[in-house]
Amino acid sequence: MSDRLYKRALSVASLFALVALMLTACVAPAPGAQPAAESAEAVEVPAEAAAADSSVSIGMNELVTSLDPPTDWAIAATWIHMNLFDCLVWRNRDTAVFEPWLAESYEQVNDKVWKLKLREGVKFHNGEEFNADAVKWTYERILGDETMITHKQWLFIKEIRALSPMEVEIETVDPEPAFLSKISGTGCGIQAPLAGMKQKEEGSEYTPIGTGPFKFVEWVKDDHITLAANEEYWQGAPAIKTLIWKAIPEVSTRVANLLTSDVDLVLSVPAQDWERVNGNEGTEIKQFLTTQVMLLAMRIGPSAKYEDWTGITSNAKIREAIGLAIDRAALIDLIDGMGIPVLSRVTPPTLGWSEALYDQVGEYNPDRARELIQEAGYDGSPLTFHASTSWLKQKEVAEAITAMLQDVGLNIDLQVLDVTTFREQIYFPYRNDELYMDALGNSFFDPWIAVLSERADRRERSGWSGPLADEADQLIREAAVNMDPAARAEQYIKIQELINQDFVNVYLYQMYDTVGISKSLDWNPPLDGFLWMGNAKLK
Amino acid sequence: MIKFLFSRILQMIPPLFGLTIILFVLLRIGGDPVAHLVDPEASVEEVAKVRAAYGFDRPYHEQYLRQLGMMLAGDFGDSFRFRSPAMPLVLERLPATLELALASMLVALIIAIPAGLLSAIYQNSWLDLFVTVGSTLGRAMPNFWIGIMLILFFSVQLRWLPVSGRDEAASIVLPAITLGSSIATTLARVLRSSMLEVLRQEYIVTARAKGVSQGMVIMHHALRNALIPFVTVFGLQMAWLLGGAVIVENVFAWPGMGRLILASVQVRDLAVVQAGVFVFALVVMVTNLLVDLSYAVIDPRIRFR
Repeated sequence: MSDRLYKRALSVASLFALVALMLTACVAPAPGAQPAAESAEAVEVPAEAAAADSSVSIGMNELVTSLDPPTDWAIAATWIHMNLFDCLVWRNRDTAVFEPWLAESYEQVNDKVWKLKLREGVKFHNGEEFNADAVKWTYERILGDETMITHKQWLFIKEIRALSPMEVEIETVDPEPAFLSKISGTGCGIQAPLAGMKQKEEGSEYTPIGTGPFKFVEWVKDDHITLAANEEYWQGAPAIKTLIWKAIPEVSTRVANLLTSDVDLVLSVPAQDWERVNGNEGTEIKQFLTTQVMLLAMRIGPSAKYEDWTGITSNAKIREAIGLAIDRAALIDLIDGMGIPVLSRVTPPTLGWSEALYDQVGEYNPDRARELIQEAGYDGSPLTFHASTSWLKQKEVAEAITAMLQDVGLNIDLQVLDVTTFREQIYFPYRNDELYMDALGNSFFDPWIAVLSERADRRERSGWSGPLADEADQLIREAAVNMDPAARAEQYIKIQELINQDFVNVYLYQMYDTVGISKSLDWNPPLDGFLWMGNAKLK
Repeated sequence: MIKFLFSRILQMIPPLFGLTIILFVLLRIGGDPVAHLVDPEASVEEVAKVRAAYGFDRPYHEQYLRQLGMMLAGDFGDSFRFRSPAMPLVLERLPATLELALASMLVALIIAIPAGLLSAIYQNSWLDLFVTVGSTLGRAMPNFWIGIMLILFFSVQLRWLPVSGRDEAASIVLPAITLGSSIATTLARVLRSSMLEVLRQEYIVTARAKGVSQGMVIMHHALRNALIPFVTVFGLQMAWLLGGAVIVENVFAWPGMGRLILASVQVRDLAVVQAGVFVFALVVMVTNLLVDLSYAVIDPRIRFR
């Protein structure tokens, strides 16, 4: 073979090898490519559950870290849990009112006692009967285990009494106006007691057994969770027969999966992909309002964890100037309209929300802000402003706020941190300086949690004090045990006004989020985007 | 040979010990895991309670010694996230990562060997220029960007391959190409330069003068001698490959160790990070040992003492 011929043959062979590799990889089965299930199967999967045309896949940023509801409080985990478990009471996600669920009815016996009549004929996924023992066992288990992350949320319960097999009485420690909200909060899913006790005795791996619309089939940690329809569900068998939750951490990959129909629903689609998703045949973007409110929190004084703090935001005029310097309308434009301007963290339909504080851009008056800064005798010393990057365009919003504050003459030292660093070095050591920006939600839909941080014993981050702070503290404590809803609502409105009057926080906007969804999936995101798929259908 | 093996295994112990110290310092002093174990509304008292429950309120040296003692007994502790032992969590994902690493190595070899050979044989030609420019570009492009571009073209546009996951055999193609192509660029350049050096040797000139065919000269005389530096770099690239796997697994939702470690670092799941990095280090060390052993196969003149 001549040199020239040899070289040509080598070139062709090399190209052929590359093409062959790609083709082989496309068609050949890879040994061991199927992941092994982490946990034993909980139930036998009905044959029809495997039907491909009734299967729905959801692409999530992350999955649960535990299938045991009280041990994982993350919102994504709650969504998955609530498809496996039912609670006694349900907050209707469309009307935002409480409805009987596993409790057929409930009544308030007195300020501290609630009586609940349980729904008859309901069975757990393993065939166990749902009854008062199940309710008692579920909540006593949480109350007895301090390591459960939701343990403290349930400490409002003093005692649970089984009055009869289908009737329970729950006594609270104090009068509990938020009883229905708390009883339907994180970890509320009723668990099968006999199976649970057996698992505990044997020390076997936890297997979720609830009464929810879907049964547990398989969990490959950090990869996917497969659920099958509960054909015996007390509200009727779900139309979706197989529900797969897939962990797809990279957002571009999640969107690509939706575009190729590998998943039917993805969360938090970035604005730059909306056109592509809407332009793709068979997929669309749907928006929903979250409970998250983006706010600018200010430190007013030192606190036990930051005793030596001194800063210019201790001056009320500076705080007022900051509030007047922020143009909420411009910030909402910056986030592509994905927010509603607010002057409070209490948003509808939560009790105590106020029309005067919701969907209001507030006063934007940079001239007055400049005057106030001058009156305060500001010497140009820098204000440290911490922000993280965990929310939609949060960095850009923080930069815009910095520009607005600098425009009125404040010297801002903006420090944008990744979310891990922000939580570890600023938020939880309570080492926030003059300003920080964060978004906080309210999955309880009750105002107590929205103002809790301003109770006198919880002011580590604000260091708020003075007569207005004292008044707010008293109102927060009174409202927490006030059983008259109308009077309680008034108290919360007054608390919000006091917070605003002393410029403790500057509330910016309530955040929207998006889902990308296949048009073949008949499901609309509810008010808070809660992914309960018991009512989903395929068109 | 046995003495050599024994000595090499002993040499692995000090770096692994050093690794435990570095990891401890980076993870404990670099951040506070308690911040991820409480809800955003937690009070000072609640935070302190959780800190004490996990032993994070103890002096650092005490925490380290306790951890080292547990590791020597084969216990890497429990994952905060999953509330289960960390090492089994890591080992469950090891096959997926090794599968991706092996497929990526195969891709790298299939790209690098022909590219390196052709580039050396056709030195200073358009083909050489193409390989050189391609290598530089390939090295300059980040893995996650290549991965996303491949997804958009092959999965979204052409619909030939799955976007992500590990559900079907074809799922490995795009992550393997993403990861393999990044090390192929280095390997091709190493092979090119070592081939050029060998091709200038007198014994190659002699072989050609004797009328030995070009194929025989390249494959039998030159390539084998050029392989030693190539194999050395190939072994060293294992560390790069595993590092790249952390990103590539995340982009392609590949359920391997890299993805587990990345998610664990983000929430300071200390036990999982320690177990994962420890296994990564061990894999790199074993690979390098295998590379050393392969020298004797490539060049029979090499003997281990």
